[in-house]
Amino acid sequence: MTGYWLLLWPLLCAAASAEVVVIVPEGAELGQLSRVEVRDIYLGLRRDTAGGVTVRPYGSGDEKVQHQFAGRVLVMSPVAYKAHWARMVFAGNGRPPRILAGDEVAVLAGQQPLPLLYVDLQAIPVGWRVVYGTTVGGE
Amino acid sequence: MRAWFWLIGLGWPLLAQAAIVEDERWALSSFGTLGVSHFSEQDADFVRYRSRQGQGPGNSRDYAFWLDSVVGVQLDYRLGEQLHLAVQGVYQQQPDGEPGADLTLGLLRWEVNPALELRLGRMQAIEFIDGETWLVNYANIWARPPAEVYFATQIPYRDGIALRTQQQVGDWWLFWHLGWVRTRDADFAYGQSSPSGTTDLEGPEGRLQVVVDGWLWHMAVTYHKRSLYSPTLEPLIQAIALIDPVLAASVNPDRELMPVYDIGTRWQSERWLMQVEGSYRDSETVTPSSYAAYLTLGYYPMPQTLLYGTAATINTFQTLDAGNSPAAPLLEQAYRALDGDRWSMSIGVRHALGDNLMGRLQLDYVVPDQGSNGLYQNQSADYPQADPPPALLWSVNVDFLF
Repeated sequence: MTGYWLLLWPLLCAAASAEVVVIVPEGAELGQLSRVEVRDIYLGLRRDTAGGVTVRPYGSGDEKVQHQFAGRVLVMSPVAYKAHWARMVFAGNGRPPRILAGDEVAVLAGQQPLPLLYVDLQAIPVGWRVVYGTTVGGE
Repeated sequence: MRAWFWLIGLGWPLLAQAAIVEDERWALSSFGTLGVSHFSEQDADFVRYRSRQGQGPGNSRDYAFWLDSVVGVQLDYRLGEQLHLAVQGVYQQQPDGEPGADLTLGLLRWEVNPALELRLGRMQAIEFIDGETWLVNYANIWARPPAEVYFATQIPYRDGIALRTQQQVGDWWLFWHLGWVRTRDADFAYGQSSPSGTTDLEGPEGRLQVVVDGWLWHMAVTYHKRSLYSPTLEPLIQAIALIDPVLAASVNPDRELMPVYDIGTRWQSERWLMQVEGSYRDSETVTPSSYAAYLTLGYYPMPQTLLYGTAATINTFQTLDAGNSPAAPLLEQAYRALDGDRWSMSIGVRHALGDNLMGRLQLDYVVPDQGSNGLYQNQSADYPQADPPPALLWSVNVDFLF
């Protein structure tokens, strides 16, 4: 049974593929981020970028995008990502990035700390720009 | 009380889609496990951790509910941009074998700046990689941390003050923890659990964790003085004192310095994980010194499924030589009673059943050494300590977060 899933796994990945990018509001004074910076921010290791800009990360409500983000940017399984944040929360080390409902994105644009959000490349909201993505200057 | 547990345990996961209740200032979150286990050794109980759990499957009962079952609730409250409060309570089996509530976290956290924070209050064990989430089974690889290593600490939480700093060196993150803690009169299951004792600890502790792309490196030392008061142990110490008062004073675990050193690493990729950890506990009283280690390998055949295996071992050795003391045989008797040497192999599979729900099946094969109590509790008079047989533990658990 395991072998069966192993054979199908690349096909399942391809079928579920989405180009994930990380975005900020267009007016934000923030340059491109590296994958390591994005990963460290989403794992709660840091709250600011290498350039010293304090950010607040948010998660996508789209499960397919969540899985792509975990696999390609964080390089871990979605379950391992959830387990990581369970360890952080219940050791008193803070809260995981809040998952956004679709209509909340517009409200975030003017907020401080600077909101950081990952989305499907095809679904970048108006007024936001990409700071990390595999086709837009990422690692 | 048990009905309350079932209501929480079974009812809340059904509402788990609502996940965590939170707003910008506060959050209420919870974790738990509902499990049942069976142990093939009928003359002793398998326990999750020997100091805090009085009974398990085996001698006390064929199937045990409380080996891994637990419910924890945590409230996080942001008192300002830099001040945070976290309070966590759990409902789990107590040293007397009955379920009860514990306050496992009660922490005021002051973020002086992004790289420095001060913690005050009740904190969890920092010596092990997963010591701070000992009971959060959803977060851990296995059904329970390998007892061979984790048994070295008797009290998984303590009160005190700690300084935490973090530094970035290239792509490396260094996380330091320096603290001073104490705990008084913590209940303690001791050998045959019915006469539970109490234990105190006090002293400094430190930890360095290094995080670099996919790796976590962990080094920790706790330099605690510990006391143990047990109705089982005290008559033995008194008996030694009648023969050799000097020896009795030196082996009595009263404010004994008992350092624990631990080192380990965890590596994970999208498909694989590896965790290895070793510890050494140094003691010069009737509590034997011990060294222990485990290796865990895991593989995700699918994103929601983890297959894992663990090999673990513990060895104790006596650091105290009673020499020609006429009380030496009594001391030897104490060491024999406390000998917990064993090795074990575990295999398991866990699968995400829902957004915050994880099903798990784990099989443990436990082989105590000759003369070992196997780290078990409640051995019957028929327990063959001279040559204990291997035993199998089956566990079926559902872990959840909400």
